[in-house]
Amino acid sequence: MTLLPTHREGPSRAGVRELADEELMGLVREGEMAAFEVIYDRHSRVAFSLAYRICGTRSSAEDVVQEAFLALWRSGARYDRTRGSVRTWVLGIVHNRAIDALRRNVVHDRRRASDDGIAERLEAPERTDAEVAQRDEAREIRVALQALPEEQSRVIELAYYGGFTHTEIAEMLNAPVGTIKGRMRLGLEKLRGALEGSGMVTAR
Amino acid sequence: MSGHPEHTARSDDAAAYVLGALDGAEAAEFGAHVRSCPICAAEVARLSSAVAVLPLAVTQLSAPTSLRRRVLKEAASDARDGQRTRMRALRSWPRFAQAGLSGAFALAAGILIGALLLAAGRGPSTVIRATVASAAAWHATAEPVAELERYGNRGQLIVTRLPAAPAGKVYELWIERDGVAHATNVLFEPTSSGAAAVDVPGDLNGASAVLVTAERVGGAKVPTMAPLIDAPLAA
Repeated sequence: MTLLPTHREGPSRAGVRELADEELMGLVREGEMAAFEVIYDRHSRVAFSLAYRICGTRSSAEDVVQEAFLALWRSGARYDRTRGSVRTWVLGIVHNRAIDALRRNVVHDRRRASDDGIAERLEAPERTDAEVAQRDEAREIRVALQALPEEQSRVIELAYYGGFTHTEIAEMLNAPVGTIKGRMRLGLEKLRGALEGSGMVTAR
Repeated sequence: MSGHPEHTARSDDAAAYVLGALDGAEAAEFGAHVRSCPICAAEVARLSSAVAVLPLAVTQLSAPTSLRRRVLKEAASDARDGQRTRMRALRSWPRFAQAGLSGAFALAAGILIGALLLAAGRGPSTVIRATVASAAAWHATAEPVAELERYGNRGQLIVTRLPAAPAGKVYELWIERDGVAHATNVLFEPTSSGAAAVDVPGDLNGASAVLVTAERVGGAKVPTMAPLIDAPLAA
């Protein structure tokens, strides 16, 4: 079912769904709604999941995802494929906006409180091959994260998902700032090493 | 590498930087360093690839169907608004001359107003090329390029080649109405490559310009300097 008419004549809906993200972004730049819709469908799940993980409430996560995708629609011309995949770009926007929301204290008090256990109720069943692949990928990354020494995974999680600065984390954990930054580096290095073979991170 | 003696000591900073864990002033300082140090830039790129997988590790949830409907409806509405938008007559720029700006802070001569119409299908949202302070004001070799994309009563400021704010400062966004700059409480820093895309909060109807200054970390209630970026809106 088509929710909305496409803005102008363009590739057929089925044809658009066959295109790679980078090709779709070319169409998004030209105002092709069908291309935007496909980008949304491909990445909204992980975007919402990330926003929910950071914000801790469904309403805030929805606001963040809405803002992020509309920013993508309005500034698609800024996507530069030489700097990474569309997914990385989208998730970067989502992350920044979710952390901004946290720091504005909009959701500060409720973060990490999964409101009414909604995370469990929302957990998505995999319907497509792509979603199954995404689930497997997520599992592999979680395993790699869990394999890190706890002191390293903790500082990474507090910084990335919690939006805390290294000085805040140092105070929280009662450790020197230099130690915290060192743990961050060691953790990221190990994560890279663990995932390099899977092709999820680039070997540089 | 002998040309970049700092790099051996800054890998830990690179890790905190890519995780977004440096505070505003530190991030600005390190961002500026990265732009001039290829070794730290390579380190940032290397560690960024590990950070890029972190969003994928969270429990995967279904995004609500109502959210999809809302996002697509809003995007379609943008496109329709854009079609109705017409190039506006933009005001001239005597304000900065009146402010007595000169020397390093003199604004680049002339307003470069490009009411560019985005490609046909996207709809002609208005893109306003902002005036920016001269390169010397930014302590940079090249002037930043700033554009305000306006969609009906909303807008987004897009800046490229923006140097990191001076130590201890961040960039702050203002909306000018009736000659008075009103705080938006939006503070921002460019990415390591100097890019920034900043949504202008609130309604732009009746506003005369969107401005950017560099203010102390935490922001200011009133601008403490002449605008570094000035995107004039329709009169």
